[in-house]
Amino acid sequence: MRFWTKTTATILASALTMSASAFAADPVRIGMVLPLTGPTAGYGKDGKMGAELAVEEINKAGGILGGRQIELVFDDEKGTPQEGVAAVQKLMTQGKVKAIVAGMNSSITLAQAAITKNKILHIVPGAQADAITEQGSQWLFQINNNSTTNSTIFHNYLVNSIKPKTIAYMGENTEFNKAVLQNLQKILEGSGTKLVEIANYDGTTTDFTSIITRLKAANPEMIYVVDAYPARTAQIWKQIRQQGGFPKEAHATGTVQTSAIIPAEGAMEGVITGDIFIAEGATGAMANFIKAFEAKHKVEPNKVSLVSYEAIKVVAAAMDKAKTDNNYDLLAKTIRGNAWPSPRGNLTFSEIGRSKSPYFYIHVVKGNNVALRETFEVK
Amino acid sequence: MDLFVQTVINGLILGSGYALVAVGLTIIFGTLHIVNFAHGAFFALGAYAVLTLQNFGVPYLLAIPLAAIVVAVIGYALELSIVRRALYDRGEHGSIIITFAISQAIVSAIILVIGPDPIPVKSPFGQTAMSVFSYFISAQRLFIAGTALVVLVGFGLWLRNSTKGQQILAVSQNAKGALYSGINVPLIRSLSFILGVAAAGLAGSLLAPLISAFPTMGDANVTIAFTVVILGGLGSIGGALLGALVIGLSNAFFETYVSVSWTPALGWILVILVLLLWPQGLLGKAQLNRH
Repeated sequence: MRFWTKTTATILASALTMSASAFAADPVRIGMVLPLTGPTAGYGKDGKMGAELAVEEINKAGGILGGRQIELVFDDEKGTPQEGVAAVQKLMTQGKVKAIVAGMNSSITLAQAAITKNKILHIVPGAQADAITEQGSQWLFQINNNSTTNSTIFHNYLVNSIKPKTIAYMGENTEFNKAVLQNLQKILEGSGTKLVEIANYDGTTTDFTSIITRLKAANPEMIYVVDAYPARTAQIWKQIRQQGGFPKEAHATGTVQTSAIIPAEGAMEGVITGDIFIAEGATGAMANFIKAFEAKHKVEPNKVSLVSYEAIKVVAAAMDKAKTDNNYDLLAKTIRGNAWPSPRGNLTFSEIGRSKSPYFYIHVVKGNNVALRETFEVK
Repeated sequence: MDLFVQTVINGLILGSGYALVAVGLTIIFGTLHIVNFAHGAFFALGAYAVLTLQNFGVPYLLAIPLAAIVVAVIGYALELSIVRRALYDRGEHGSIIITFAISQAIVSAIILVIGPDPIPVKSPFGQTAMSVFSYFISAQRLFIAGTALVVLVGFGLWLRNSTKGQQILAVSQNAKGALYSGINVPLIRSLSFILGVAAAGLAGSLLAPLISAFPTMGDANVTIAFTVVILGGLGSIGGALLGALVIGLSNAFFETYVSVSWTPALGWILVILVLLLWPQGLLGKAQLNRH
């Protein structure tokens, strides 16, 4: 009898130990939805590289929650809200993921946020529209600056430093464009600068010659383009250049990457823009990030790579600190209540989930990249 | 007045580009009754073919016809392996699904092999714009307009005057009748498909310096091409040219004088109006009666 009692106890103890160690070894699955195909697939490629670097660093350092590795599960939003929503739903129902990292395009992110609201932790890496964090989702956080923060700094810079007397505005008819235009109109109130023409075009537009002709007819001193699609951005600036250009030229913040500058073949030279990231003159944690990224992927990172890297780092660090991967109330509280080290410095989040990054940079397009023109501290 | 003339120039040049994209679509529909949703993907293949040829040192002007040939060869391989087995005489519904699948496969293959980022395509016309009496005309756009005119007129004459052209028209009207008359219908069908996709490739190679090469570059262009061929009359070359010029000019005037935001709806509004008045499109009925 004693023998059997001892044997049973040994077997039970072994089984418990084994199951505990198996549990400890279970990876934490994080779902990442990116535009891997479609017109913004370049963003997907850049974002994927950033996220993979973050996971590699976390796993090499021992993982989270007592040694559990992070496993990324990717899905493709294909650049449309329908596919974006389907990808999030698939990851939530079949992917067994504990958090969703999704959102490069504001219109798609808004559709996805309606699905994740009150169901799962949702980190938005790139999308900027203010409306994303105004939907009342307690478990949603925006890594990039929202468009009002970026636009306010940029538009004030345009009005006070570039000082155009008149501006003609053209932008793709999206949620992001709407927020930027409203901000511009607000900043221009009472200033000496007038908005003389607005052209909001559809995403299916294939030629901009007539739109530029219309804007040129208004004889503005500055053209301001708001478009986040690299191929279209290049095409617009080529066509602007073909029609003789404008005395002063600007492009929306956070949207000018080398994937637009290179195909523009010099047509964007001198265009003023801005972003939360610049590789030029990076020091400290940012320099380390750039070095690690280049070592892993053999290319220079961009803003999209950075925010994707940061999104994964914030999720992982928050899960580790809160000691849970599924108590979303606690995770959200932990994210709001702490500062999160990132290559840009410490990221903090407001009550509605907006991040506050320390710096914003004014860029000017130079050659095949952007050059730093001025640095602003984000207040 | 200056703005009016510039808008007319913009519209005509834009329309000629639309015509070039639409002509291949209308050939394939007219002869094979296939709604080719892969047209945009063949358009992209034309751009990438020119890009690849340029990387091997082939000059742009020589790379254009070679790119059309490369796309024709790829099109023939797909015609042999998929299209003729799955689509001929099977109705238009199957063609939508299968050509859409071909389109997705081609786009995915481009992303896997070359990558998703837009790549500039060099042209000897560069970004130059000519200023004629103070009106701006993009040199590349003018080159496209000239090529479109030559290709469309040449193709129309070939269809009308050559034996093979007549055989294509015969198959488009009544494939069984053509077969009983001794026409090699499978060969004519292959030829029509190859010509259609080669036209898409040609359009892609010509428009690539303006819009860069990227995997989904054909999507928006092919959407407009559909409005053009429906407006002009499905299967009609003359209709494609007329429809393209109508949409090009309408878009240019609407964008310049009325509203940029509403312009995309304009093409479809025109299509609905034309179909209400002439159900075969502007030239579709006349073209069918002629043959």
